[in-house]
Amino acid sequence: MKTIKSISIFLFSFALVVVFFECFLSLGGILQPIVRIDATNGERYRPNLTCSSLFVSEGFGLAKTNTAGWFGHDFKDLGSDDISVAVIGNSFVASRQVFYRNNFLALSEKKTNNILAHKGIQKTVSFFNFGKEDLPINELVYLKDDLNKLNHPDYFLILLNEGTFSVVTHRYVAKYIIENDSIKVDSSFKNTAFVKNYNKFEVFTKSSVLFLMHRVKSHLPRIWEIFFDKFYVASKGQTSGEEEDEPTVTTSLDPENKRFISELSKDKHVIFLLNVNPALCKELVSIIGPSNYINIQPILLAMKKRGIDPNYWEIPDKVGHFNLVGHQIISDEVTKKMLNIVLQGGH
Amino acid sequence: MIFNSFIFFIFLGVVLPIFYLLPSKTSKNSFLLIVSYIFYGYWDWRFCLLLTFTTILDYLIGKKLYETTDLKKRKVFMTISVVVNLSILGFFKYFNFFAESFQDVCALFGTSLDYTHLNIILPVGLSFYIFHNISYIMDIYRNKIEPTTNLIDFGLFVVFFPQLVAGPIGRAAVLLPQLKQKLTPTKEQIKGGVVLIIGGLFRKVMIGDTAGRFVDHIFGHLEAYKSFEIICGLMLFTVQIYADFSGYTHVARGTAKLFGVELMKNFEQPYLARNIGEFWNRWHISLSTWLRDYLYIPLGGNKKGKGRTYFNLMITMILGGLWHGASWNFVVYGALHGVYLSIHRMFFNHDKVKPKKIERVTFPVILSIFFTFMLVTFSRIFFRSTSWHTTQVFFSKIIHWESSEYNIWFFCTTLTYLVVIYALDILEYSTGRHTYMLDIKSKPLRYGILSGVFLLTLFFMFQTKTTPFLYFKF
Repeated sequence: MKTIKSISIFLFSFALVVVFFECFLSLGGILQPIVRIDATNGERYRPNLTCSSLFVSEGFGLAKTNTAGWFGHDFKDLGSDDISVAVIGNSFVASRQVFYRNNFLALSEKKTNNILAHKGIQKTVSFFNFGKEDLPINELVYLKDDLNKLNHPDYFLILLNEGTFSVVTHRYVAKYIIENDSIKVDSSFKNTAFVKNYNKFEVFTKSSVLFLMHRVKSHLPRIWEIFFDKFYVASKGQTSGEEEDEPTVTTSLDPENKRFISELSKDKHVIFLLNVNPALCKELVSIIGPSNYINIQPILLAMKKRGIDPNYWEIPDKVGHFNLVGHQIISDEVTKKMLNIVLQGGH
Repeated sequence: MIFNSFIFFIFLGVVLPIFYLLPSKTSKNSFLLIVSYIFYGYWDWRFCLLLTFTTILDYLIGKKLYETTDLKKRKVFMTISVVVNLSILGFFKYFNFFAESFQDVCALFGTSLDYTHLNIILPVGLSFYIFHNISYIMDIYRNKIEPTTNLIDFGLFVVFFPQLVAGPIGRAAVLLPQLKQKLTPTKEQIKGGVVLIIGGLFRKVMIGDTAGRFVDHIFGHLEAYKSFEIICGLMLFTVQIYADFSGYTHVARGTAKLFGVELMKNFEQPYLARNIGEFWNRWHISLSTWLRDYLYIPLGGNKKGKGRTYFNLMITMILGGLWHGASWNFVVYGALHGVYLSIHRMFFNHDKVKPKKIERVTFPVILSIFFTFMLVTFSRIFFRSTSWHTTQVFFSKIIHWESSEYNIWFFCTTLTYLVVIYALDILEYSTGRHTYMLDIKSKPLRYGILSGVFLLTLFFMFQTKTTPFLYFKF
C-alpha cells in the first residue's frame, strides 16, 4: 500500500513538472507543434497560431498563421483592378526563419505597390503565402488545384527548387500520383493507423512536451556524437553532424516530374520562380516556356561570389534557407516581374 | 568540457566512483588534480601550460612571502606575483584592445601607426584563475592566511575543475583548509549537490539558452526588429545572463559538493535587490567581494572622504567592467554602475545597502525592486552590444519608435521568462537556500519533481547544440 502511494505521489509530481514545462514551452514561445492533420488534405498548419521558429529553423521567425492555417494574411477576393498572387512552394516560401514582414512576399508587395502608387496607377498587388515545408512536386500540384477550387487568385507564383524534386516519404498528405498515365488523387493517408489514432488523441498533438519528445527521434542518428563529443569518430560513410550532408543535386527531371511540370505550365496564370542549377533550369525552361518564369539563381550566386551568402545564418553558423539579405534580393526580382505584368499587361 | 554537455556527465560518471574508492587524502587530491587538468585540457591542451606556470609561480612566491619577514622583500615578492599575473591577463585579454585604442588616439592627432592585430587565443577562464591566484598571494602578504606547503593541494586549489573556468573566484582561506582534509562528502552534500546540478542545468539549458536564442538573433540584426521587440530582447538578455551564470554556479557548486568541497555562493537572488548597492551584494558575489577586498579597500575605500569614495567606486566599477571583456562597452557598463553606486551612496545611508531580509511585501518594496531591476536592465545594453554601432542602433530604435505587429507575443514571452526566473528566486529567498528542494519532506514528491526536471531538460539538451556559458569568454 505504501509503495503504491509512493509511486502515485511520484507520478503526480512528475506530471506537475510536465504541466509546468508545457506552459513554459508554449507561453514562452519556445516550441510548439504547428502541424495538424486535416481530414481531407492531411498535414496542414494549425490556424490562428503564433509560434517562434527558434528551435526548428536557422533563424528567428514568428510563424503567425491565418484563419485558414497559412502564413501571412487571409486570402480575399480583391477588386477588379487589383491583382492577387497566390505563392506556392516549400519551406523557402513559408520562410519560418524570418518575420513575415521580412519575407520576400511581404517585401515585394510593399515595393510593387509603392512604385505603382508613385506612378499614379490605381492598382495594387497582393501576395498570399501558401508555402508549406517539404512540398514535393506531386503535393505542390495538388495544393495548387485545391487552392484554385477555393480561391481564385489572378496569378500563381510557384517556387521550384531542387527540394521540389526530391522524394519525401512517410507523409500523411493528400497528393497526386500518376497511374496509367493519368493523374489521380491519392488520399490513402486517411486509412493509416497513425491518422486514425491521431483523430482520437488530437488534444495531445498540441502538446509542446510531446512535440519535444517526438523531436528526439530525428536526432537519434547523431546520438553517439552528442554523447561522446570529441571522442566520437565517424566511421566510414558517415558524416559528422557538424558537417551537413551534401544534398543530392537533381540535374534532370524524371518522367513523373516532367508530367507535373507540364500540367502546371498549361495554366497561363502560373509564374515560376526558379532557384535550381543551370542544367535543371534549362530542362524546366524547355517545358514551361521562355517567358513566364523568374530565375533567381544567377543573382543569388552573384551575391555569394561578392561574399554575401543569401543562405548563411550567422547565429547558428549554418547555411540554409534565405536570410534577410536573400529575401531582399528575391523581392527585387519578384517586384520587377510584377511591375512588368501590371504595366505591360502580361508576363 | 562544459557542464551542459553529455560528455561532462560521462566524465563525472567515471571520475566520481574512482574518487570515492581512493583511500587517502593524497591519492584523492592527486587524482582530482589530474582530472582537473584533463577537464581543462579538453578545450585546448596548450592552456594547461599557462595554468601550470602560474600555479608554480604563485606556489613558490607564496612560500617565499611567508618565510620572509623583511617588509620590503615581502612587497617585492607580492609585486612580482601581481605584475606577472596581471601581465598574463593583460597580454591575452587586453593587448589588442589597448593597442587598437592607442592607434585610434594617435589617428585623432594625425599620426598613423602600422599596427597588426595579433591573433591571440584567450585561454578559457583566465580572468577567474588569475584573480584566484592574486587573492592567495595578497592574503599571505596581509598575513591573513598561511601558504600551503603541499604543491598538490595548491595545484588543486587553483585548478579544481568545478570552479576553474568561471568561478566562483575562490578564496584560499575557505578552500585550502578543505583540501588539507581528506575529502569525504556527506550524505547531505551529495543530496544538495544533485539538487544544485539539476537546478543549475534547468536554469542554463531551459531558461538561459532558450532566452539567449531570442537575444542573439535580435542583437545580431537589430535593424530588422521594431522598438518594442528590441526592448523585450534586452529584458530577455537580463534573464539570460542571470540564468546562464547562476545556472553555471549551481552546477559548479553541486559538482564540488559531490567531491565534499563547499564553494561560495555567487548569487543571492540579485533581481530581488531593492537598491543598486544591495544588487552588488547579491550579484556575482565572488567578483564583487574580490574587487572590494583587493581594489576598493586598498584604494582607500570610504575612509578618505566623500569625494574620494565616489572616485574609488568609479575606479573599482570601471575596472570591474573591463574585467568582463576588452571593449569600451564594458568600460561604459562599469562606469554606469559606478555612477549608480555613487548616487546611491550620496542619497542613502550606507547601512541600507546591506542585504536585509524583506519582512513584508509592500508597494514601496515592489517599486524599489522594479526600479533597481530597470536600472540593471538599462546597463545591460552596454554589456550585450558587441560594438558602438549596435549601441547606437539600439538607442536610435528607441528614439524613433516603430510599433510592432507582434507586441502581444513579445510581451507574453518576456513575461513568461520573468515569471519563471522570479519564481525560482522567490523560492530561494523564502527558504534561504539554493537547495530548497530538500525541504520537501515527501521523498516521492521530491524525486518526482527532480527526475521530471532533469529528464525534460536532458531531452532539450539532446536536441540543441551545446551553448557555452556566457562567462566562459571572460
